Amino acid sequence: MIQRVTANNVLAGCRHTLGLSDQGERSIDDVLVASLLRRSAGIHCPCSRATLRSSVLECTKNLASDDAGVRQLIDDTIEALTVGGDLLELEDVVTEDVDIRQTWVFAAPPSFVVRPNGTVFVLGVVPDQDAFLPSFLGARVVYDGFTRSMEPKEGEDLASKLREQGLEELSESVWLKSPRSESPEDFLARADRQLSHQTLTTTIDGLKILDSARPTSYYPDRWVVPKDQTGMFVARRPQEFGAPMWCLVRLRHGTPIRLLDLPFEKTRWRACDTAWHLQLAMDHCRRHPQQYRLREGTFGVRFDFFCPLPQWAQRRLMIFGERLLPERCLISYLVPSDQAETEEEFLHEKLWLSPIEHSE
Amino acid sequence: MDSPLAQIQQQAEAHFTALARTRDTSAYPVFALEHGLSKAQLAKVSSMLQSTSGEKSFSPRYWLLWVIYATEFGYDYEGSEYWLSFENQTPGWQYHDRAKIKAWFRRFQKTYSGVTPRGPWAERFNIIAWPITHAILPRYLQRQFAKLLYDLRYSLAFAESLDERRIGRLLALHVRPGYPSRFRAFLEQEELTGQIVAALLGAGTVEDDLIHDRTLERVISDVEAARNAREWLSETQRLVADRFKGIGRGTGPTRRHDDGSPASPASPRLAIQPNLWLRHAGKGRWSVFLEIKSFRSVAAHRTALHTFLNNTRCRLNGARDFKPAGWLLSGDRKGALTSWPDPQQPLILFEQHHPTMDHLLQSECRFRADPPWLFRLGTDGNARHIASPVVRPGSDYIVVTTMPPPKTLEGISECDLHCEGVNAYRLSVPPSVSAEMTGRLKMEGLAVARTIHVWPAGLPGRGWDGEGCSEWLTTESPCFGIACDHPVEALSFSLNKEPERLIQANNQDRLFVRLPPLPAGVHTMTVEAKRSVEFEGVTATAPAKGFVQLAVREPVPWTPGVTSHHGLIVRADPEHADLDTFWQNKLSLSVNGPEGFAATFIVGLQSDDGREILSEQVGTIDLPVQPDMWRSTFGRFLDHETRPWKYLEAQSCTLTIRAEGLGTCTLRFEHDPLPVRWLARSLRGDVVVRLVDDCGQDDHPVVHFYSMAHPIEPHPLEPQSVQSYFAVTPPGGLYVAKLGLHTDAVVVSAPPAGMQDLQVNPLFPPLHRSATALSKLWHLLGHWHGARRFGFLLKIRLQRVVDDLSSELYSSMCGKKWTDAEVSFRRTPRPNTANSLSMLADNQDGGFGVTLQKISRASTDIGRLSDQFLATAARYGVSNDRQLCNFALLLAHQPHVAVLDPDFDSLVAKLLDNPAVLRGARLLALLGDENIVAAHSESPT
Repeated sequence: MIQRVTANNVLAGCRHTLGLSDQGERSIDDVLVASLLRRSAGIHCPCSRATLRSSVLECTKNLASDDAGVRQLIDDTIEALTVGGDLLELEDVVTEDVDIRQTWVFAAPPSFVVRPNGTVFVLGVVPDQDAFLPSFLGARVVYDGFTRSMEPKEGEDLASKLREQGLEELSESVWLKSPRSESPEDFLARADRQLSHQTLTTTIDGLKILDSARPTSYYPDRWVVPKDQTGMFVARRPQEFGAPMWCLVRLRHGTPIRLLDLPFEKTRWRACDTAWHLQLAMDHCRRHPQQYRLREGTFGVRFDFFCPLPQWAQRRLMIFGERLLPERCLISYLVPSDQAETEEEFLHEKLWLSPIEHSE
Repeated sequence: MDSPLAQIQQQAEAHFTALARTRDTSAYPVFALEHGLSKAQLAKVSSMLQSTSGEKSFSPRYWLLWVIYATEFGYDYEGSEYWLSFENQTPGWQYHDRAKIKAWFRRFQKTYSGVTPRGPWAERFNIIAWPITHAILPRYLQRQFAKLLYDLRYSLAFAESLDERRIGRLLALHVRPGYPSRFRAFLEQEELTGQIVAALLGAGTVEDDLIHDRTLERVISDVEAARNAREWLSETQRLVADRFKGIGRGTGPTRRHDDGSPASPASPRLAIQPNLWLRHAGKGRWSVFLEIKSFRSVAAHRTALHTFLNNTRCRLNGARDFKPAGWLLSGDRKGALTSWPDPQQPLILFEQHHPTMDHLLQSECRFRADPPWLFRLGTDGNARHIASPVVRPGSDYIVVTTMPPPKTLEGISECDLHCEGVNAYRLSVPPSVSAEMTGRLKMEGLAVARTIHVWPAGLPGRGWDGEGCSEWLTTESPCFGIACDHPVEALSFSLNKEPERLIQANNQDRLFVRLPPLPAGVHTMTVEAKRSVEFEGVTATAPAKGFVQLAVREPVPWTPGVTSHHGLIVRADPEHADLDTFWQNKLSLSVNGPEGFAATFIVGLQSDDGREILSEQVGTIDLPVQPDMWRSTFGRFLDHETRPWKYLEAQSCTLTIRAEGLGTCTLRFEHDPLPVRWLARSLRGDVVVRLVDDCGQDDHPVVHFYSMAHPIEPHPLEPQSVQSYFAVTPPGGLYVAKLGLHTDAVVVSAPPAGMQDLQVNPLFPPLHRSATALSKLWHLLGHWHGARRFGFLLKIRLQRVVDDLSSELYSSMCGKKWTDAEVSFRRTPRPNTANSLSMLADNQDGGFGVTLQKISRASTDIGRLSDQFLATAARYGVSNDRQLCNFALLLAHQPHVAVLDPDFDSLVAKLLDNPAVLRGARLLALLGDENIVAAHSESPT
């Protein structure tokens, strides 16, 4: 029987089908969007981010009062699911046509990561099942923002149970894999050498650069159209479909003379991760390193960041800590007090960050 | 007073007589496992039969107990060795006693309407087929059975009808080709498997028992005890519980197809229509690809279609390459097209014809015959083909046409489509389309729509084309949002021509509707606007009407290790190889994934009881992995001395490909034992071999041994003498057993007594230069090359035998002078020795050979090289026979492939009459054109 339903009924039906608790939520929140994106990934992957975005945008059309807010939430959640391991963004891969290499979003296979505190992150997407765990385990999954986690019962070997169900355990070495340690100077010199081999034969319309000369404290303000800058810059250039492409440019008085599309060849890191990492190196070498803010609290130490962090850095903070809603910053994590010092060392060594003096 | 054995025999006779009587009405057969004996009685029977068998030589007095005894062995049978355990536990057992067992099973079948083994498996293993079939579901298949139910849980839960035959049929049609043939044979007994499923899933009391209560309880209890089976069954039970409630047995007369298979009740249209897509490949370039839905639903309709799909390669209309057999059964697929599909042909083309499949493809896998073809462009750079050439205001399209793009049309721009045979242009339809533009679009074959806008609401729609086509699962309640471009009073809905339902819209510009979960098949929802009264009479056009097509299917359960759309793309050809193909390194494997990642390959071998007997890492290779890289890495792995022995014990093998976070793919290879087969193993430093004959024929196999020292001298062996393990005399050799259509060959290399005998030096008598004799020897070379192989220094020794035998054969066919020159060239491959060889090719002025030498340097393309070889042979009067020239090329490069040619013997005879052709081909082979090897390995003829 076909029946008329309200927008709220549609959302409630979605939550039910996706296995989410329906405690009267009538809005489109991050948990729902994350689940819809996982479902969409199960249908479309491998595909572009734009395909996922348009698919979820279409089905949530007219269901919320603020369609623009939903659009932003979808974009943020795609990035969060990529950081969180549900989606894999892979560069230069072949799918159905061996002659075409492109960047695609793939659905990660069902897997899990055991955190030091014993809880387990469940990751992955399968095509026809929103919940791939059998009901006796699936009922224990806690949906929190874009993550799904499970708490082991006392004395329970939860990892074994998940392995038996065919989920793959991602070891710390896989999950926390990061680029090899090198000085920011060496990193930039390597990038500079690669850029030097490139030539530029056409003009680039719509190019925007991350201007290293602008203050590091407010990331959106650093994006500018080149004017009279000279030197090497992280940049983005528009393409017809999908998000602007990340690149590295050499400018002479604001005019691009060399351009290298990111990421570097034969690397596993995403273009944006390489770009953000390069920018951190540039800021450090200009003696204006990116900074982070520390705040001690009852439940641990709060780390606030003012620029995007590469996926491999965020995964580390995710595992040892917990993501928080940012306050006057871009990203925040709560890290247990006894782990905070180790994480600071990591931030200094790998990302060349500095703490803000006289933190609260 | 009767002996205890006689008493139990009488009890069993009475039991089976009664059972046969109750089955009279249903015509279901009786199984020997339904003996109804208690465990204690069974133990007693076994022990007493074992103690008396030697002296009484299997007395016919207890024939029924022997049937039960043999069946119990069948129940514990582990998939490879039936007679070995039977022999070991039955003193006095002799080879010829097998015939008695078979005769007693036949007597059982006649006396009690017992089951008769049928099908290809039963034909191949025609004695052990009796006890194993009568064992209903041997233990070693029970775990697979539980897993199959788990994999099919959604199909079971949403099946239209659940009588035993339908359940059994569902199982039979979904079994994967990787399963052992015995399991497939078991699943062919559809009503029987259906009843086991009903019992396993708690379907309640049934009227006509197919299986005796106690036997069914025993089987169920054993299935549940298998590893992981309890969880699988519990999850399946949860899903299907409601479905089984209240369903009685038998849903009335079963409608049948022409081939005898039951028809599905509603026979809905199959949701297999492929989708044509254009994808932006960067820099303004577009590529065409076809998205194909799995043909599992097609295979589920008829066994014959399942078999056809499993065995037939297919090609996409517009692509050049053939996809491996079974490709369409392994989930949804995508494939790139390099030329525009021929609209007169279906979008999928099979290598062979099948009337039903042809009809299906003609009706379900076609696309619009006439240009233009319209693709709706999404914001993500993907453009999906839409069935009707109707554009909507404010939307973007790519129009594909056979004509040049129009020069003057508002909103068009260039489009570089990477596809032969068509042109394309982009079209942005303005939000408001003028009458003039409507007219211009009409000239291009396009119409402008003004209708109702419908979209999937809430859950993202699978396969949503923006124009009304979408795919749903039987577990989902589809929701749609609906908006009209003009005020409407109400909307009328109808589903599949059911009575319409009117929903008041009250001039709201959008509303939402929900449908109930729908059964599998293609459904159509019609939406019609009922205009507001004030609009009636104002507009002359008919009320807006729209259609939504919902292709509904069952969910495909996730199977761990099977890649779906993860970052690891594994391609194996053949798609479902067996263990021998895999272990002989004949599998073409490629693994695609992003650079910067590596894949680790792990091989696991499992014994017939599921025990892990080997789990080792083959290696880690950077992605992407090409077939050559895989072959060489796995080749090195196989060279290890001990691994082949593990392989000999193995019933199945897994290849796990793990690429860090990208995913894991597990390929499974099953051992399908031959009815006549050699077994070999290492026993206290000796290599021992035995022959297993499960054919059950009156004739004995013909058995020969060829020593590595004398590779073409046959030594006949008595079949009885090789049926127990015997030590192989160093250096070992080739064992060949042949019975009827079945042949098995094995090369075994035994360690020498002293260091001086490490290497072998094969000796050959002078070969008789006749076509018959030489053909036989070429076939023997094929055995040496293709046999399974094990043992000490095997690779080096076998290579020596194969090289020396090939040289002898080439020498015999090409002549002594040629042979001397070839030896000289191989020893010193320099221009002068090559020139000497060239001069001898045609026994004339050397022009043939000299020209071939030039060709070998210039040509890299195989087709061109073959053509040039033929042209050169014709030019110098050597031959103008294309078949002979191609055959000579293959014989010169890959004789073990050439022997597969059905005209082999006659072609060898022709070459003997005209050896210059073979000398020419051999010259090309020696000068090293590897392309010929690669190309000819694809096709033996």
